[in-house]
Amino acid sequence: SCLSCSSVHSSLLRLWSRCMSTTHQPPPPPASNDPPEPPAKRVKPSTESPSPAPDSSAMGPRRAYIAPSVLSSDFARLADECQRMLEAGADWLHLDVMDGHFVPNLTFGAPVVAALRPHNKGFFDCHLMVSDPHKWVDEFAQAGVNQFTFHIEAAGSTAEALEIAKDIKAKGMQAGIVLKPKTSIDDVLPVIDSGLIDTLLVMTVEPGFGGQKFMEDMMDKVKTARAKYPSLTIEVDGGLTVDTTKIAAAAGANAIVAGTAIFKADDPEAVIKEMRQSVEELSK
Amino acid sequence: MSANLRVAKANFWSLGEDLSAAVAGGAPWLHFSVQDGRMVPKISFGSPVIKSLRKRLPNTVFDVKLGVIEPEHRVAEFIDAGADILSVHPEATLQLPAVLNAIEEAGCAPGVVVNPGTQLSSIEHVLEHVDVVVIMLVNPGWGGPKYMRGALEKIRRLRLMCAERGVSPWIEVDGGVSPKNAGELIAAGANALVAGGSVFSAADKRQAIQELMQRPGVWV
Repeated sequence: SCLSCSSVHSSLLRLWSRCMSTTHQPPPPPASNDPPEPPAKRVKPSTESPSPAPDSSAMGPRRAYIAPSVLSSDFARLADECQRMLEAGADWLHLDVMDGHFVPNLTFGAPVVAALRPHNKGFFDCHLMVSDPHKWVDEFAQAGVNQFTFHIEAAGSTAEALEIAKDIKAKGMQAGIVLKPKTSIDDVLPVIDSGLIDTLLVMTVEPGFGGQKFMEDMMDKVKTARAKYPSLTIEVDGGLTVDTTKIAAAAGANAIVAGTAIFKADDPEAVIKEMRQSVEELSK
Repeated sequence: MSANLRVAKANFWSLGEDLSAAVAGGAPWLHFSVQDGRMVPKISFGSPVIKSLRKRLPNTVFDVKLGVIEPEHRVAEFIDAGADILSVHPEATLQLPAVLNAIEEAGCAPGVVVNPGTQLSSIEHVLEHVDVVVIMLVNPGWGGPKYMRGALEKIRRLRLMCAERGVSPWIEVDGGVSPKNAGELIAAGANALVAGGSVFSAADKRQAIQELMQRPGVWV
């Protein structure tokens, strides 16, 4: 009903403003990114010349988001682990929800996220590797997720993806769309063109399996997306280390998900700092 | 009689400490309700959570209920994570005896879960092969009404069926057990109770557990 929608929305706004007033970090970015550039004017067959490519050289350093993945943490001490990450300078906390069906592993769902929420002021960047993501929008909105990222393969069509994205935004969350390595970037472009998408997540490993290496050939997708959408947040996930972050940043990615590279580091703060520096210097 | 604690009701934020406190308060088993969003309409948690806790609580019995479709694919994973008991839903698998056998061969105690909608006839034929039968008081993942009368009837019938076969698995009850209904459940024949909210929300967990274990008719 309308009443329940608006009460979720306003409670999320209050939650969001509490997140934004965190004092032990530099001011976080505004809730929504700049809207993506409108698609380039279609070239008519007759006399019109194509519109010039958007000029991104005038932009300053790209805003970096370093997002440690809690899946690499010790679940018996989730409080301490997440706080440790925020204090080490993490911008987002990346939550890998896997339902054991869309991907073979089963990790955790909304109850775990809802339990984290009251104790942590960070931005919850939730990646849902689940079948039928539309089913879970409400529950995760109520759990206090800031960004809900769903798979284009699970949505099944552009139309369904747009419905899901609309619902995510209506429930007060940022919308992200993610694609698996074997999926073409073309499948997500129409969804991003709608203006409903805040973040594009390009998987650089096959989701749901641990210990894989960074797939450098996924950078073509990042480059294509970056050329089309200069202001879009482009996130990468899978096998990101200090070294591979440089490759991703050079291709245009500005949000980096890392698990063991950060959690298991002797000095997570140094790793986060170095990754952020790579994005700010190399991402264009 | 065993009072087990449903991990889902603990505070995930400080899961280790919460559970340690409860175990110290007298709960010998910890109950984990794994839900995959398909067998049960909620996604709770999977083996990574259990694995992390196993390190913290090496001597507690981990009683894991697999509310997942095709549990046969998860047996190895959960045993590796540290489960001592693995219970499955008969509706979730095409060959129930095969899954129970796989659990047993892997060195774990097999169990079956009886939802409010599950007939006892679905598990009658495997009673000789299970160590635990979990009777659900509510429809898992739905919340909603407690089917107390139905559960009591099932427990009584189950006790008779077990006696006829000369077996005595643990009869465990889950889904809204509290000091108010514990006595009745035990009198009907249950000997393991899963307590969630009533213990974790109690200020003094030790006292809440003792209360449950001191119902009339209970001998430890």
